[in-house]
Amino acid sequence: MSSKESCRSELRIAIRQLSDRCLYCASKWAAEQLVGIEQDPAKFTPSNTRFQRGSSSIRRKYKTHEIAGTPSAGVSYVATPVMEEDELVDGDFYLLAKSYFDCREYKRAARVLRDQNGRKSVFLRCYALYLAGEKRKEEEMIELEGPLGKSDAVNHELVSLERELSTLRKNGKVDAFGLYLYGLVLKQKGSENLARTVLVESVNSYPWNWNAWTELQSLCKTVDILNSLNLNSHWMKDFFLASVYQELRMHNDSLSKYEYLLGTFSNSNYIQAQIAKAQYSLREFDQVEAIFEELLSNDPYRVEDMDMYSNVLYAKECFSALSYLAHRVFMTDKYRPESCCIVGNYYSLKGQHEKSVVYFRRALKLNKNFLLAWTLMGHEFVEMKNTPAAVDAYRRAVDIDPRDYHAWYGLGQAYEMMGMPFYVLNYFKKSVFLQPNDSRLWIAMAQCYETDQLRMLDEAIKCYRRAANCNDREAIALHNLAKLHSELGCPEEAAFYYKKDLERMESEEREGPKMVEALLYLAKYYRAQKSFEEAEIYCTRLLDYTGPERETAKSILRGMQSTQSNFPSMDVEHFPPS
Amino acid sequence: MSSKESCRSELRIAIRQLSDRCLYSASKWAAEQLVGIEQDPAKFTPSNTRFQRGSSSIRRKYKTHEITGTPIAGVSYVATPAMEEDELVDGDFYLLAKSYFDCREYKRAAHVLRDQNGRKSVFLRCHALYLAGEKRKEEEMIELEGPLGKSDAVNHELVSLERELSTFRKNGKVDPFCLYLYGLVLKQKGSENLARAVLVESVNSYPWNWNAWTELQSLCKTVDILNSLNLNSHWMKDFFLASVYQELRMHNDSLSKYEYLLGTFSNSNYVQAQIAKAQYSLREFDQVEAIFEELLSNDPYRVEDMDMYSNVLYAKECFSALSYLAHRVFMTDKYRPESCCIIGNYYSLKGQHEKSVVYFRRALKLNKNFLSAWTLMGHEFVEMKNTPAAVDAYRRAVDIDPRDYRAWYGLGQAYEMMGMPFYALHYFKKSVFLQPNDSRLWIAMAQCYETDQLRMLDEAIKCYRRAANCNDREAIALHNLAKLHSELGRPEEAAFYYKKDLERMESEEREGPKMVEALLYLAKYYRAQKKFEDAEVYCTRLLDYTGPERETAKSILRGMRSTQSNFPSMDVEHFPP
Repeated sequence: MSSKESCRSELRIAIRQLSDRCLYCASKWAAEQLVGIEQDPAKFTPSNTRFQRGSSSIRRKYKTHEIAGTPSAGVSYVATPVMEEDELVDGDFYLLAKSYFDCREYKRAARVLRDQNGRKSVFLRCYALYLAGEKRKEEEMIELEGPLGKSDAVNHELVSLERELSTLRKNGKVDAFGLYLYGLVLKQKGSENLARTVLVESVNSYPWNWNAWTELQSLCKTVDILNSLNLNSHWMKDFFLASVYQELRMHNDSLSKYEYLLGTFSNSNYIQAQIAKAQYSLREFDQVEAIFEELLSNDPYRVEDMDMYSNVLYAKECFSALSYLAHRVFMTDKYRPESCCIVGNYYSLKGQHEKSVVYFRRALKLNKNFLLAWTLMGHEFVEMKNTPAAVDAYRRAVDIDPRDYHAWYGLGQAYEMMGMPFYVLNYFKKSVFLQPNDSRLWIAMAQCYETDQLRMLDEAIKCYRRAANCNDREAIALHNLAKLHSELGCPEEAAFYYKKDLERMESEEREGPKMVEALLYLAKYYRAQKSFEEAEIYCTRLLDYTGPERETAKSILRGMQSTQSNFPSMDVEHFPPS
Repeated sequence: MSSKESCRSELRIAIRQLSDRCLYSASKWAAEQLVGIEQDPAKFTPSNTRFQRGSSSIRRKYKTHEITGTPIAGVSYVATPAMEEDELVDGDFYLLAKSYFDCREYKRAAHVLRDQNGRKSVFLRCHALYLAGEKRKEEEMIELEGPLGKSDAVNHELVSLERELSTFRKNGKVDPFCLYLYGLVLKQKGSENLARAVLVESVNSYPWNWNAWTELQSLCKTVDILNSLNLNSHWMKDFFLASVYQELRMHNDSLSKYEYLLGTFSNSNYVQAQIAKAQYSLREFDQVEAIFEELLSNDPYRVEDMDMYSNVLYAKECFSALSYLAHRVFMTDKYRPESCCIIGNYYSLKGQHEKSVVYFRRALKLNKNFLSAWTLMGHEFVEMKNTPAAVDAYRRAVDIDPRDYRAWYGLGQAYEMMGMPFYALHYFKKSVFLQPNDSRLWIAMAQCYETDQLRMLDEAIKCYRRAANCNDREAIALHNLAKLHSELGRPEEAAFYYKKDLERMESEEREGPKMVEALLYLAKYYRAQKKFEDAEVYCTRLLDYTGPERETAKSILRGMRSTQSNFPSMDVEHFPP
């Protein structure tokens, strides 16, 4: 063997080994030398012929493990044709291109593959061009956009990529990865129907590319669209459905699917995180917290999804746990958007709103489409009474995701602070439309109707009724229903709701001014109704308090006793001794 | 086969395929699901046993191609034992860890491998910890440092890594990759001798890791150290030697080595770039330009080393080529330090120094150890007469590389502008020590000696002599040597150098005030020496000019004729008919 050939074979193995160890610069360097070796003029066959000759037996060995059998759960899957294993040994130019890609030199990688026609090479070249275009687009956005403005920068590679990929698809020369990229391009161009079709083709022929499923999910905005997809049966489809159900707010369906997947993937942290997300959307914060504690124990340097955990800790005011989490992510990866949100939540809970905003801004600098950061920053500005800034932030959030009810609700709050109830009402209506089972939203809307400018108490009552039906945990709705009916001169309804409120406070073992208020109202109500026994019960309970209500209760009791003594007297008059 | 096993095997193949296509997020996701599959309680063997059983025949197939033969050039290499091929199928936790690594979640990757003892896993875990520590160190530096200040942030993982890796080495359980990492750790800790020894072990047992050679090179500061290394023969060693020679400023040795390597790696852009660097150091700018033009043609989106090309275009004032290059790198990768330097050079050549500084600052924001950016920024501040800022920038450069003669020279210039010739002299001396064959440095030093504050003309003359011997292309040295000797009242030496300068100007077909000055001086000199024929020659040449020198020449000629007519008269007196 000539020394050139020995160098070549050594380098080919080395590149794989170096790349396996993520030594990208060394791998790239070795790949450069590999293609730098002079080709022998007399050679006409591909330089890795020797391996190709033996690869079929290796491929056969692999195929043994590719047969999809019946899963344990007993559900029957149609066997999916699995894409054949790639060539075991990559071509020299492919190795060089991949090494450039690993060092994020995308245009360089694409150019190296300009004459390579293998499917793997075609994909890598197109993908590199796509990412080069995305990179340039990001740079242009930075150049063009104002502080909170937007730009219309585009990926300039989309046109040529679409042309090439559509031709390849038409000629049946595109593989699943090429289809995935084609779907990505179509989606960005706004051709959503064709993008869905192409992505379905991609996942049907190669189900293991989660990126493709993710893009497909982003194009399923309704249940009808989802049901219209003609997807082959495969366990990857179950992951997809679970995720889409979550996105479409079918939280219980999502949970069922994930519970099913746990049958096989019982150690999957991903599934646990997704279950936590569904529980979060159902506002089961205790369960969310327990799951995240387990996740943190298994995967202590995880940052993914931990921003949601910090939201839960914030809502539950678990200060020490949030502090611990904030310090951990700060040390793990402080320049990741999720980390910045966690730290922002931490400062927010401490009441340091300016510092909190600094971190949310940093999160948005790192990822300007980070929806949660916009919404949370809006909340901070509300706390700081900076309503124009809050409005700006919330508007960015709803621009990113028109279905973000938190942001619509936030806009309502901001305009409420500015004393503009008609605007408030508009935004609150949007938020309850998107999240009809959240009592807080109905309560906010009701309170808006109660304002002096609107004073639409009947409408407010309707909203409070909805809130009461949606498990109003803070029991605001029942109390306010009672008060409003009282103001409207509907004592019977007022008494009904005060009684309900009282029952709830008793069951939750809560005391306080609202209980006193309810007891007083009911005492007076039943006296007015001349149901003296019941009135007496409420008065007696009030005697246990030490405030002015005690004297009020005594006064009522004396009044009632006086009324009763009159009665016997009348009896005496009517029945003279015989 | 159970459905769990089929999922598992599908995912294992998918991870390789996705990773091969650089789909890191998808690969990571698949790897998470792979380790998420429930292990069968009844199973005690490793989960990839089936592949391991068959892997030896595959390994045998690979070994066929690992034999090192005799190279064509005929130089005999001792065959190096190549490391055996890795297991064909990676373990599940390795796949997950690598996927995290690919997404730069280093601590997460290390945690996944905490109980894995295979060599590959051990390396990846240690490498991940090292990079996590480096990342944190960078963050701390940003938190702690002032505008141009430094911080003493360190990689907190070094201590535990050193302990673990030294134990492995002691127990003979370390592989070449871990030796490389151990060398890295030792180097950062300042244990340079041991680091060299360990890195030599690494490259001797696995020569194909260029990273290891690069680190070893950074520890070879002298030829003696280089010669003391006990390196096995391998063609990778040739790449190493070529690179070290360049670093040690043995440019011709470096060129020879690269020319030799071209025999095998004739299509290597890397080798061409390295040759260009050596030529650049030898100031062969035309050759450098030609090589870079070829590189740009072969590899049009290359940014590596193109900052050097921009320096050449700047020096040659090739405005349109520099403009083209600047726009190209801007579109390719505008947030890369080399790109920023190229654009900075472009604005500098346009005379927009403030804009130029903006780009050099950006380069340094991206890589604060980017030596040429500091030096070039210093040059810009010199142009802008902002000497304090220039001094700051140059100081950062020499802190990074005490052998950067450009920065020392820049410091000299800055202090010269501040009218502090003793400081200037100090720095110029440092620069000529490092680059003794650069005439510009000697000229700068000479001019410093000439200043009114120092007025050490003999020393200045010595410097100009050195400059003249170093191929002073702008011919400043000869002219100034002549002038200085004239001022010192040494007409013979002055005439000598004026004559040499004149010869050079003639050979280079240059005209101008300096030529006039030389002609005038020589005319007067030869008249004073009563060598009227010589004097007449220079005067006659001066008659071709249209300035005041023409009248001066006429005057000299008339004076000389008067002297000659007197002579015959005297003859008559002495010889009566």
